[in-house]
This record gives sequence, C-alpha cells and structure tokens, in this order.
Amino acid sequence: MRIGVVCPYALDVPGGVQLHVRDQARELRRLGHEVGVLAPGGERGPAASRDDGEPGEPGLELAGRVVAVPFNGSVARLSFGPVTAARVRRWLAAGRWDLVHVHEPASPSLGLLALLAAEVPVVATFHSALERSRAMRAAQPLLRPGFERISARVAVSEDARRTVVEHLGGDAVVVPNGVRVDDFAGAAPDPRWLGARAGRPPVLGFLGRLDEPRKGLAVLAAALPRLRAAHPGLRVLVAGSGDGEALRRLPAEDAAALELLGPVSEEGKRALLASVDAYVAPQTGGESFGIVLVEAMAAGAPVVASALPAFRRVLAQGELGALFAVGDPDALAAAVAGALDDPAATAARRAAAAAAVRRYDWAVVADELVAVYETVLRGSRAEARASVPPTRRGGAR
Amino acid sequence: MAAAGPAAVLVDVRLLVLVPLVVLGLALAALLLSTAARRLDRLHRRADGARAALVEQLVRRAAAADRLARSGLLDPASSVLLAVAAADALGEGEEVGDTATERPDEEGAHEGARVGEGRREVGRDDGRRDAGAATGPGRLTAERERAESDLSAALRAALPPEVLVPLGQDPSAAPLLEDLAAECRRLRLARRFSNEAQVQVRRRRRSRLVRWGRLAGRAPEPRTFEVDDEPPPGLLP
Repeated sequence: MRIGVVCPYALDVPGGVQLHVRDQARELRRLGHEVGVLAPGGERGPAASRDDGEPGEPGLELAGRVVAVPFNGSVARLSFGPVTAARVRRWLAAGRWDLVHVHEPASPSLGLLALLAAEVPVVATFHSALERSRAMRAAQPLLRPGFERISARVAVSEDARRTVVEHLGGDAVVVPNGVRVDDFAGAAPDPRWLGARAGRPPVLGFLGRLDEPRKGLAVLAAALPRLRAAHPGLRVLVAGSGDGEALRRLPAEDAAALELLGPVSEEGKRALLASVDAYVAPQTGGESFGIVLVEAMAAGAPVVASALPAFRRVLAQGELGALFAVGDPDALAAAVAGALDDPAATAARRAAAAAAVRRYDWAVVADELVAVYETVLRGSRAEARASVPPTRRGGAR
Repeated sequence: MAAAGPAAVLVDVRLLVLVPLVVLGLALAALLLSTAARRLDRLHRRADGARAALVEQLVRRAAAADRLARSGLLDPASSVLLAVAAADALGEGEEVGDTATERPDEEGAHEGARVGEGRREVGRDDGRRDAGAATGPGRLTAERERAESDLSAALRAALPPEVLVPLGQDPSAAPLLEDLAAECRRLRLARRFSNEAQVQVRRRRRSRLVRWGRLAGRAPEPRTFEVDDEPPPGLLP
C-alpha cells in the first residue's frame, strides 16, 4: 500500500502526535508499505527537503512556513495559508497514495487542507479529548464539508472517541497509540538516577512541560514536604522543557529535592523510566490517553497517577498502578508512600503491567491500522467497481 | 405619443434591473444545487462502497468460522453449532448476489418473512438501483442481521475462555484462530465505517437544500446494519 500520512504539527517539536506519526511511518514501512509523511516546517520548500530531512525520516515532506499559534490550550506550531494549500495538493498528486491518513483533522493545519483536496480515501485519527466544547461547536459547520470526506475515523482512546461522538457526531473506532515496548523493556537504568535499588533514598520521576499547568508539576511540588518527611533524602527527577517559573517560590529545602533535567531525548526518557522507584503522573486534565504511562509500565517503573478517566482506563482502574485524587497533593503523597513502602504489592502491579502493555506494542497497533486501511480500501474498490458501468446512477439521485 | 414615451422607458429600466437579478439568482441556485448534489452523490457512493465491504467482510467471517467448525479441533457439538450458524450466515450471503429473484430461505422464512417485510421492500428497491453492478450493495435485511448476531453468539458459545486458551497453544489451531480473530476485528471496523457512512447520507438528506431540490431522487433511505458483533472474550488482544 502507498500511504500518505499528514501530521498537523511540526515534527521538530516533541509531542504525542508527532511521535505517533514518526513511529507509525516506521512501523508501516517495516510491514512493507510505502509511507510518506507531510508535516509543517521548512522555508526551503518541498523539493529541497525531500531527502535531507532528518536521518531516519525518509519520505518526509515539509509543507511550508510554521506559525506558532495558541490552539486547544497550548501553543501549536501549525502550517496553513494558500501557499501551504498548494503544496498539500502537489504532495497529494505526486505521491499517488492509495490512501491518506490525516492526524488531528480538526486542527487548523495541513490535515484540514489535505481532507478537502484528497481524491483518495481518507482515514483520520483523533488524538485529543477536549473538555471545552464551545469553540469546537462553533467551528463545526466549517469542518463538516471536510469531515464528510473521511471514510474511517479512528480515536486513540475511549476518551478521544467520546470527544468525537459528542462534538462532531458519529462514531470512531479505537486504535490506541503505539509504544515500542521492547525499547523500553530493554532500557538500561542510569546509575545517577537509581534510588532504592542502589541502596539510596528513593527517586521519583516526572515527565512533562514545566510551565503547562495541566501537567500538574505544581501538585507534585506541593506534596514534597510530606514526601520528604516520609522518605528523607528523596529526590524527584523532573524532565521537560520550560524554566519552571512556579518552582522558584518553593522553600529551599523542597527545591533542593527537585533535579531539573531539562528536555531529555528518547533514550534519556527510557533510561529515566528504567531507573526511578516510581513514575508520578500528576496531570490535572486534558489527557486523552496517557502514552507516557504505558511507556513507564513498559520500562518497569511503578506508576502513581492522578485518577483522570484516561489514566484510570490505562491503569485498569488501579490494577496496574496506583491512583490518587486529581490535583490533591496529600493523596499524591499517600499514594507514593504506598507504592514505595509496599514492595510486594508494587511488584505484583509491575508484573501485571508488563503483560498488559503488550496490547499497546506497535506490532499489535500497526496490524490494527492495516486492518482499518484494508477495510477502507475494500469499500473504495467496491465503489469504483460500481461506478464503472454507466448505469442510471447519479440521475436517480 | 409623448405621454407613452416615459412609461416605455420606465418599463425598460425595470427590466434592466430585474432580468440580470433573476438570471443571477437562478445561476446562484443552480450552483448551490449542483454543489449539494455532488456532495450527496459522493456520500451515496461511499456509503454503497462501505456497505459492499461490510457484506464481503460478513462472508469472510462466516467462512473463517466454518473452517474452524470443520477443522476437527472443537468438540462435535460445538462444531455442529458453529457450522450451522456459519451456513445460516453464508446462506444469507449467497442471496446477496442474486438481485433478480427472491429466494425464500429454507429456515427462518416463516418468522423472518413477516418481520422483514418492510425491509425486504427496501432491499429490493436497492437491488434494482444497482442492477448490473458486479457487486451491488448487499441486501442487509433484518434476517441477515439476525443470522449474523446468531453467528456471534455461536462463536462465543463454542469458544468460551476454557476452550479458547488451550486451543490458542495448539500449533494446528493457532492459525485458524488468528484468522478468525482478524476477520472478527475487521467485521467490527467494516460495520462501524459502513454505518457511519449511511448515517452521513441520512444526515445530508435531511438538509433543507437536498429536500427542496429533491436531490435524493428515488434512492432509498440508507439503513444501518445493527448486529451483535462481539467476538468471543479473549479472542482479540
């Protein structure tokens, strides 16, 4: 199959959708499909960037000028405008794709442009779970002609699916985000980041942009006095971009327990998750899936997460990791203490988690995507067969 | 003569304004209608294609169930149960191909005919519309829905966890089960996509422009296909 994948966000910025697109392209290629990726970026134009994209990103085409605009609660780096639209059309025509897979089609970027211009069947994946519905409702009439072109809607989680049902009408099938489980399961711990396993005070891990309130770093910071009281010398590794403005007001001894690592690479993230005594996910909302929870479980880190609907689902209602009340530092501290002080229960959860994450392995997820593609193509082939003999079709409508 | 002059000029001026306005209005209406018709036609065609894919997938699932029933890997009672349910579903499937003749099905005709009367009408109309097409949209009648739901129930009955788990470790059974799992999963996809497409046509047909312009013509109101397609627990990851 020749599959054209459209990513609405610039690939040079880390993010769930971008990582998903990269992995998706790689896994589909591994299965023998031809995959091209269209993403915002580059002033150089598509011809020049065809083959000098990043190593490991063959077939990446840059669709033009990136604009950073606030969208859906964070700043998104998008691409749009008439020049971009022309490039999208050229990419669609030159790629001779059997099928186009658009990610996050509601974002005002390449996806929407590709939807309207595509002549081949379109599969669309919805990533986000939106809580604020008014803006989406307002945009709905504008989105509808494009959305009518979608042959198959995919949601990455039950929560994302509910957003589709509530905001756009209609339904979607759930194909979860994929994780390369073996990469995480085989990651080597970093000796600097080891805690209890090296006979030192425990080490907690946090991943996420520091300045985005919904990532919940403030909740974790507020729990520090209790955490430190229960485990003197406890350290918290904080990986993510941002200057941590909010952390500057912390008392000195709390701040000393935090180690700001800045943004980490994929390898760094894997090593961190393989090292820590618990991975803490204090997110307060806006999470539709919680891929990082799956990554933590795959790396063998015990997970302590806020009880958001998406997290509850990924953690099987607490069977695979500990849950605490959303936004409650005391509950967080209690849950972390529970995970650190009851090694037997934590080990049982880790074992269950290691088995459960296989469901999210890319090998499984890519098969599911291919099943979606084949079903859609079967429909479009039947459509083509039906329209070959010029019967009374069309006139009867 | 002199009095008629200004009147004639007045008429001319009115026409001068009116005629272009009417022409413009008509052109605009034609544009709107043709755009709406194209949009509706595209949705119709996709809905027909998605339904054909669904019919194909129903046949593939029944065939996979039938292969498992005949493999000798299940106990005789489960094998018979599954084979009968698969044949029922496949029997309905054969009927899909022949659009010209109405063949009363052997079983289920007594109760099915009465229940499905109205639906049959829809199906027949559908067949006529697509007569000549190699694979017209399947006539997904109420009987077909029942037969497919029965097959799902038979699969669950024949493959409870205590059978499924040991069977999965049997190297001769594993490929059959993998096939069946793949077909069950694809059925859910095909049904979701098809129903989604039918609903979109229906929604579009309710729009004012489509109703006023009678753009839907005599094409039958698309129907969703409502069945129980729940696979045996544990068959899918």
